[in-house]
Formats: sequence, C-alpha cells, structure tokens
Amino acid sequence: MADDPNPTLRAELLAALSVLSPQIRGLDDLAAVSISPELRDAVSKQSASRKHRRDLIQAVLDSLDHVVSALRLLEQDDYPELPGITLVQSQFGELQEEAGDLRAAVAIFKAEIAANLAINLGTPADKPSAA
Amino acid sequence: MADINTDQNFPAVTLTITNASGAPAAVDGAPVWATSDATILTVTAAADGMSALVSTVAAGTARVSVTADADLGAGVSTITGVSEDVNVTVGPLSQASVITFGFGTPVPKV
Repeated sequence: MADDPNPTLRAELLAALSVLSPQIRGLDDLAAVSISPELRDAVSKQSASRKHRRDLIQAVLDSLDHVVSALRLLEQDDYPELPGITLVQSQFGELQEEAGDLRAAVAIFKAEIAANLAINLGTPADKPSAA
Repeated sequence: MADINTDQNFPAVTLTITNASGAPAAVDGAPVWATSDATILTVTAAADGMSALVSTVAAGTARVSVTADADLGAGVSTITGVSEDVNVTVGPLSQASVITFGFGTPVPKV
C-alpha cells in the first residue's frame, strides 16, 4: 500500500527535471561570461523562468513523497483494521449498564409519524388536445 | 365535490402530509396514487409521489386516493388519503354536435 501512488507522474516529472537542470546550469554559466547587458538580461530571464518551473516540479515530487510517507504510517497503524478493545470485566459491566440506561431513556420517546394525507386537486385546466 | 368536464384535467394535484399535530411529516418511500374508477379518472403520479396529473376519461363520479407508509423504519404503517368526490360531466368538445343522415340507395316502390 505504501507504494508510490502515481509512479507514472513521478517518472514524467523526474524526466522533466533532468532536462531542466543542465539548461539552468548552462544559463547560469552563460550569465557569468562576458556578454552584453541585453543578452545577459535575456539569459537571466530564461534562467529564472526555468528555475520557477523546476521549483514547481520539485513541489509536486515532495508532495508525492509525503503521500508515500503518510501511507506508510497509515499502514503501520494496521489500516484498515480497527481491532476491538478488551476491557476488564468491571469496566465492561459499567459500559453495559450505561448502555442499558440510555436505551431506557430513548424508549421514553416516540417519533412523530405522518398521520394525514390531504389531496389538493387544484384547478381544472383544459386538456392539451382541447385547448 | 369538485366539478370537471371531460375536456379538462387536474394538471397539478398535490399532496400534503402531516402528523397528528398538523406539522409536516415524512413518509417512507413514494406515496402510491390510485383512482376509485379508472373508467372515469386516471392518475399519473410524479416520481416522488408528491404530486400527480388526474385526467378525466368519461362522465361519472370518482375519487383519487393516496397511500403511504408512515413508518420511517423497517415496519409498515399504512395511511390513506382520499380526495373529495370528483364529478365529471361531458365537456362541450366531447358532446354530440353533428347529426348526419344516411339515406341509403333509392329503390322502386313495390
């Protein structure tokens, strides 16, 4: 159960990262060499754009990791099992007594049920074929 | 008594369900509609059973009735509602208005 919930998406995002990473490194290197201010500006913009994309992809990957982690914890909690709880006899007896009292109190009340059906014929109207 | 003629119907017949105190109440499932004489009135209920179309068929007197299960649990407690009498007369469009004679073929006198 604690497997990656979407391995296809993860693989797609990792592939996208592998394309982006060398581009970002190259753009950063390019910005460091002796180029005109206009070209440096264009390079810097592209670098920022790709870093933004990389960060968004990384956020999704981190979320997938959190899902896997949470699923693993859920599994360790024996999900979906919900075992019954054993009580010592005195406590169990106390519970049963309370339950009996509640049933006795509930039995005092009765639900109000429908008692009347009133039919309102409304106003006669010409049949479509007679109109 | 409600009067209607065969050229008409009751297109929006509604149902009001109340408890003994007169407050609105629910029933289990859709109420079931019926007519006391299907040769005079027919009933077509809505899917939820809370309204119906009552159509006239022929002249006469009939009633519409509805039954429902008042017990919202597993049990059944049937309650019934009956409309006032519906007096159906022949409508103008259904009345005879033309008399046509058929003389047959002339034959020689004997």
